[in-house]
Amino acid sequence: MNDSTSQVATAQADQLAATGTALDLIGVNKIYQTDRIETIALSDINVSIAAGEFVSIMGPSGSGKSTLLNILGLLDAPSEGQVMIGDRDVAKLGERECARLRNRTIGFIFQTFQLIADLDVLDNVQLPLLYRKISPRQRREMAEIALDRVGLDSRRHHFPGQLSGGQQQRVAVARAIVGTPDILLADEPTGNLDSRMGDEIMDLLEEYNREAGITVVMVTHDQRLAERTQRILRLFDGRQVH
Amino acid sequence: MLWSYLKITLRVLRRRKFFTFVSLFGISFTLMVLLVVAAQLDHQLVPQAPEGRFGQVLTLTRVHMYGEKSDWQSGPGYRLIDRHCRGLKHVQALAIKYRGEQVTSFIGGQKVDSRLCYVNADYWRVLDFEFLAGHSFDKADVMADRRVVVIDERTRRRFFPDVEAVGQSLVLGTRTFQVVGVVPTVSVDFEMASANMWAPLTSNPQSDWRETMMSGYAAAFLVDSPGHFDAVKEEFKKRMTQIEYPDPDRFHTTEAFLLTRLERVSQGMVGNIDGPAAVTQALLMVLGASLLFMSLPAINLININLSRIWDRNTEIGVRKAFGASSTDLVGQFVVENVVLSILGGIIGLALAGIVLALIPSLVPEHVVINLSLNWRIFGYALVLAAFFGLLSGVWPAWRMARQHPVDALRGGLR
Repeated sequence: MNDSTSQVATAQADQLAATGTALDLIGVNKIYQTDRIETIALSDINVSIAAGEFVSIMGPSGSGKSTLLNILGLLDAPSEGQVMIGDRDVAKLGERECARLRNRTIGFIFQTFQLIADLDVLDNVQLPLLYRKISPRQRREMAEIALDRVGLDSRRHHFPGQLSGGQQQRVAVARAIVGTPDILLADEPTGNLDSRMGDEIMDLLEEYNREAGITVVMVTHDQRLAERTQRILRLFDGRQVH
Repeated sequence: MLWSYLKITLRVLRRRKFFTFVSLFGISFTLMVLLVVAAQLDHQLVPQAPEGRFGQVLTLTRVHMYGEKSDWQSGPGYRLIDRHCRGLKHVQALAIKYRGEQVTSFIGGQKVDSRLCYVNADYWRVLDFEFLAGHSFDKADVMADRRVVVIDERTRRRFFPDVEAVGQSLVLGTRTFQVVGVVPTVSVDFEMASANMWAPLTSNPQSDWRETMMSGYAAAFLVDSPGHFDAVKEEFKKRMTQIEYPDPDRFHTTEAFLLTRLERVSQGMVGNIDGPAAVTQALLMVLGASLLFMSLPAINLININLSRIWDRNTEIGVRKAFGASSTDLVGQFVVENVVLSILGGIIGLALAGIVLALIPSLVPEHVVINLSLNWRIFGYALVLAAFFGLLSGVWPAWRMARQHPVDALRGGLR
């Protein structure tokens, strides 16, 4: 890892560790409004996730799991309430600062992998590093290390269309971890995979949580996988179920 | 980051072949037309032989003379030049040319049209013709009204394909001239130089040519330094107010300007107004027309770009999720569009080269047009292409890049 990147990551990790809380949602509501209909996606959500914790979010379809994850990842904004990442109130950040925070602090894994078809595996994995001041050579080295961790170093010049679903998701994991984020947000990462592949991805997430002390929040429908996490957060019709 | 943008640009262009083809067609055709116009302007504006000294030459080609009852615009007459334009301070030589006449000859039963003009001896000092054979005629030849003529290479090939031309006789209408020199063929857009044959001023068959105030003459003033242009123009302007008119009831005022090459080309576009004002107006006209001409294909390309970028909503979402700001994404899509436009510019340049090569075969036989591409035109092509890319790329890029990441990931604007 490049020294300056390492320093930034360490500083951010220290900051999260100092507050003891990685993510804090206080009284969060999310309402989608069209001309005639008002849809409440999330209602009065209060969640606190400690640094280094592995949490799963469960609930039926339409219960607001992905909306919650999007708000946690600064991909969407709440209609009401406060979102804290470490001790930073997200509402007070501008577009550029939000982008920077996503880049340095958060890694995403999507159910449908969301790899860029026009880029090969190595370029896909380097994507988050593109928005940091890192030389192309360092980017490449960091991406190779991440690919090595997920066991796909030999496929670096393949394109996403040339890989199986499991391999694509492993590339997505490499992309999520390449910038050494403090928080990993995974939206049904095993949803499009068979159980063996799903277990492999889950093993990777656990390993990363355990070894790097990273906070992982995972949306899943799979009770078996959820039980492997430290805490299960349940949603129903946009509300927390205890 | 730029290298990464370029890599993805080339892959996107390869993958979306139909889009690439449609875009390149529009861009290259537009730029081809603009480059042909640019080549024409470049040819007229940049001094090159035989008008290679025109960086320090002022020309007089149009005069507006008017009074209470008459109003006349044309080239100056010989009398106006001879009596009122000679001896200007800082002027080293004064070239005078009568626009000439079309003469018809028959070679082996075939009709051949040529343009014959009449010039003074200093004409050969002001213009830097390269003589392929022989020499020019001098003051003594002009004063003595000798029937001598300089011909261009095209005329030599027609009339004397197999023999040395210098020394040969050339029958033009009812008159016979002796060839004294051969020069390269001159492109028709060199106003002072263009002709197929050059004979002494005194050979002009019109009986009253010395007395005309308004006629088809043109004058080129070789000034010792471009820094003295303003002084020469000022003195000339003063001289124009001191003209003695043979018939003051008809004419009592003359409006005429000495012009640099740029001013002359500009005046050709916007009319007989003062040089600097003509340049400003012509520049605005060219820029306005170019912008208007580019705007239609640019609007079309904006639409194509919107749908192309729309197709890549998910990519926008993913990039935003991993830290790209709207500015980063605008940069990426603008780079893509500029690369596409520069590719279009290169194709447009090649097409313009073909069109310029074809133009000579499309004009009448006695008209010679030599237009070609050069490094300056290549530079114009790059600038035009980059401008076109920005014009058609910035708005779609900005529109798509400011989407909320979650909307982009879902595949479209909310």
